[in-house]
Amino acid sequence: MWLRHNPLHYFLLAGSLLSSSCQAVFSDEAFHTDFQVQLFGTALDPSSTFFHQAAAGKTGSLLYTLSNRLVIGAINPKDGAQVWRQRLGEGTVSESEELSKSAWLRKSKDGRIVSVFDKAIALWDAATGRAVWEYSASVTVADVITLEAENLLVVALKGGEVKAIKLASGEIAWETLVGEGRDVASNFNLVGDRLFLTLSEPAATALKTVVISPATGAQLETFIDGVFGQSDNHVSTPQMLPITAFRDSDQLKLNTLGTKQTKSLGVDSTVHDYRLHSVTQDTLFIEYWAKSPDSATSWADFYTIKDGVVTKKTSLPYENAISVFSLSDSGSGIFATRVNRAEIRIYDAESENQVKAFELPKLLPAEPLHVVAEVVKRKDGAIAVRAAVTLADGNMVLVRNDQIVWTRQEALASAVAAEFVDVHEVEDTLEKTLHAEETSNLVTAYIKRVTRHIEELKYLPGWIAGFQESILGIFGPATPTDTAITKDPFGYRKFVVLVTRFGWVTAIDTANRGEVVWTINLGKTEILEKDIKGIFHFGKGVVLVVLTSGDIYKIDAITGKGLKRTAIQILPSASVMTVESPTSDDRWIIAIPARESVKGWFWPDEKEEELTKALSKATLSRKCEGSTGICGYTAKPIIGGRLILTPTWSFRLPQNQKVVSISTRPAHDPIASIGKVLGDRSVMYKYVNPHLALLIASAPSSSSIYLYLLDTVSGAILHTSIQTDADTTRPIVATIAENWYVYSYYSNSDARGTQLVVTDFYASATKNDPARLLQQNISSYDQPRSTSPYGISQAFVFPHPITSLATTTTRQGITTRAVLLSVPKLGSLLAINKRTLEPRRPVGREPTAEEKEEGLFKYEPYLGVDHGRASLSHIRDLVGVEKIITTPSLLESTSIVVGWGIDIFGTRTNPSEAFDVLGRGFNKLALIGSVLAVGVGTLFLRPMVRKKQIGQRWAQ
Amino acid sequence: MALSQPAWVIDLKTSPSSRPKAPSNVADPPGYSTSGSSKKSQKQITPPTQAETDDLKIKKAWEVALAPAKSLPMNMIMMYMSGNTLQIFSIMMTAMLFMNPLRALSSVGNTFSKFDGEATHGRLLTVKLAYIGLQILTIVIGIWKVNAMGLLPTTRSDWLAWEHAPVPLETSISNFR
Repeated sequence: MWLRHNPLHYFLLAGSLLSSSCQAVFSDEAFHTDFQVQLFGTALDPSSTFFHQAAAGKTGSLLYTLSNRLVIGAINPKDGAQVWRQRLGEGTVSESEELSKSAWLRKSKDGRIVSVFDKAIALWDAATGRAVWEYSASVTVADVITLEAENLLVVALKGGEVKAIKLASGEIAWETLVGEGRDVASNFNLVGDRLFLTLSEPAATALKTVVISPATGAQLETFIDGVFGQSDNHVSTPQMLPITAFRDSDQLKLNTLGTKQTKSLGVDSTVHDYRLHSVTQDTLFIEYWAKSPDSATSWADFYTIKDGVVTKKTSLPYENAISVFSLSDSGSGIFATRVNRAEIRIYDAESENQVKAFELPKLLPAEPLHVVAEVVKRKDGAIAVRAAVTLADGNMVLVRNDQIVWTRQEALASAVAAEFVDVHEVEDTLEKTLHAEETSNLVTAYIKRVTRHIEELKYLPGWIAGFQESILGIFGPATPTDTAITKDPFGYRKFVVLVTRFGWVTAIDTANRGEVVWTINLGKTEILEKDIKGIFHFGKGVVLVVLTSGDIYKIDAITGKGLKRTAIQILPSASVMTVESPTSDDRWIIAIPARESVKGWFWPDEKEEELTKALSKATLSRKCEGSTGICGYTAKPIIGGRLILTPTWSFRLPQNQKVVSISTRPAHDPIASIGKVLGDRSVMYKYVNPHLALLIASAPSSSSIYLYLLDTVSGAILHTSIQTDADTTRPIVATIAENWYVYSYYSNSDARGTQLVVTDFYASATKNDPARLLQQNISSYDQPRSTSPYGISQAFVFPHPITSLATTTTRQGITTRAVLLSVPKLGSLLAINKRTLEPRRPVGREPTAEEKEEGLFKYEPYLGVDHGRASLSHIRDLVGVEKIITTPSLLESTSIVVGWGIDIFGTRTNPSEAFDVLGRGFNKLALIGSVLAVGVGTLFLRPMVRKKQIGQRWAQ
Repeated sequence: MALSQPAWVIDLKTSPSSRPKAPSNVADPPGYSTSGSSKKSQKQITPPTQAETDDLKIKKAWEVALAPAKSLPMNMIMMYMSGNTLQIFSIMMTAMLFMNPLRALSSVGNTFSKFDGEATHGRLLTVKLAYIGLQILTIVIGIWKVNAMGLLPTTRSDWLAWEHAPVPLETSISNFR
């Protein structure tokens, strides 16, 4: 016992432990288990993305952007962190093509920036992101221009109205109408103190320019500059140039403002698109890029404009690769920046030479879409560049010289589908092994077990290392381990596989703050929500992405490797679902076309007998052709990967009703107890049916919504209900789980507002009556009317519109459910416990003792938002979280929740408190400290006591 | 009493006089009379008949048998007062309510053995039965208490955990996208 001689060691040890523990004490728990990926979306247009000084006095500029999801904001170019962001437009955004024509972001004066979306104009403080003023026009805005001298923002509306708004106050300074409302305004140009508005006169096919006095708004002159044919289109022209540009199919026409002089540039039919750049009045830079079927090319030209004459000066070389250009004026010269996947090159406008080339350390992950760059020429002649490159995969990278400084995963804001992948199930072979041991005979089972144990010895060093780490983790903040698959005892690690609009599949890790684990290109330029049939689990750690085109991508969900790519010929309207073999590990996907009497498909087209077995008792259901209802089929596979479909039932809505949504119980939705125990110890038996589907239909003509609860095997209607006075134009969302559903709609009745209705289904209205629930087997075809479920409903008024509903799921379904609500008005994700949404709550009276014992409390029609407890997102501001997905963890108490849309928010929630895991509040240090203290005390006291005892004996 | 008995037997059977004989040489204090006590002792000297002893034994046995009845109301009040929550005191008291009667029941023979005799044996049976009945009554109170505490599986909900949903004969696969 050398320790006894050195008690000082204990003090030193205890002291060192205490001092190291202080780092992890006061951090907020909320920000440990959850994560938010704050996103803008992909930069829409190079003219709406720019470096700009946030405030006049400040050095250093921020990167401003307007995204395809209509989010504007500022990014710190140093580290890629979000400075601020705001959302334009309340509605959802679907198509990005049209957006760049109706939404843009411009620099303004005094550290302000101006945003335009459709009819709304807003001026923002560039440093803080606060709105200075907002203005809503009556028609779509055609162009805006800031007149610095006059302190005005001049707005041209499509119809020809021109309004000048005072920058400081947002008041109208003057307004005028150009062309009696018949002309279509396109863009402004400011030349000297003459403000030109270009319009086209559709009736006379003329291009018209009107000169407006910036001070008074008086229309000084009107020119008819040339012919603007039917096929002509305006091209966005930099406002400082004295020209306006328009195009037809094979020519780009540059009209010098106020003259009939138009220079036509022939544009090859292979040219995909071109952009006009300018930084001074006399330089025009046009970049072109062409995509022929086999190769992409790009080039650019410099033009000078002198006395209204446009002349070509130099050309940047023609290259067989996609590169994008940016023009910048740093004060020390005008430079064009050319970016492709491998390098950044700088060209000088004066000398047409390449002045500098920076080779990137590795290829950019995708081709660039557009770039904004700042080039600085130092006094010693050195060139430095900073370029924000938007890539074809939807992400943005910032490159400084030859280094990639940061990458923002902006593509995730454009996700069109998302699904959880269970990382744990890959390792979860133990269960099967044990099962195998059970079934085999004693000797082989024993041998198997021993060999398994010997095999598992290889995990021992890792386990010891991990043990050490977890001990150290008690004393300090857990060091983030690498994202490689490490043991995850509680099953918190799940990957969310997202398919983005840009044709990429990305997986993020819920246990590692939403970091991207892998990403893979599907080779499609654009995937919209309608283009994707689904993301399917396909066995252990494998996901299938199925597109409407029939392409099937088999991806290893752990590593992101593409395993197989194939295509089956399916009709675009087909529904795709997975079938699992009940006896083996085989899986298939099957596609069921909407059109009657067309055969279905299955893939992989092998093991028909197995599939026949799997489908023998199965009813497949999908939306009927034209979304008129639900149709059920039985299927029989034949050789060649085809399925013979036999319609078994269909449920069609009346003419005036249309399908709003169809929801089914989650794939993993165990019911732990088939009854609900009441206060008097009697039981209300739940209506248990795994084949439930809730169809919500709306009838705009009668402003009603109809709810149909169907059995998807027999097609029987189990329950219907109607809500009249509903606003069918607002979101109607629903979620169904266990024996209940919850839906939300906007009611125009006396209780006007968003209503949240919950309906529970029981096997029978009487207590202790299990109806047919205690039979060994149950058939959906054997459902006499007397066995239809008994439903109880209660409605609540909710203060905010709800755009999405979901339910938590846990491993065994013992934990109470929580209903998850996405409330965009609040910018948060709320959870309401199912105990609150309980239709048996007593109405208009206090609960009796028995009801209290059952956990019921008095019904209150107004369901307020309990921000303290209900908000899963805590104080975070979630932008555009529209869809919620949940999955169980290995802990019964915990469900993993991820919301996506624009931002991605993930958290773990315990609807019934964390009853099976020690909370963060548990003081392990105190426990270990007291054990150590007792140990040390014993070591000290033992010799003393012994000495005393011996002394006593001698004294006797 | 034909048999002559040894002196010590007689001494044993007759209760000793309440007071040791006063030494004759010491006179009693004035006013003290020994006549009352001497009369009594004279009476006790005549031994009770066997029938009388048996009656007495049965009487005693009844007293023992009915003792639990006296504690019944007290037990009931205590059980009522201790509430139906599962706490250490109510659990302990309820446990005692079972333990004591069971212990008593297991030693019925012992309890009544000193009253047992050839003559009393038959008459003791009813006494024993009454005793057993009363102990069972105490247990019934205990059962009532346990039931009130919700520990008896008498309701439907107690068997819910062993009830399982039926296995559906069909499967359904759907996608409504």
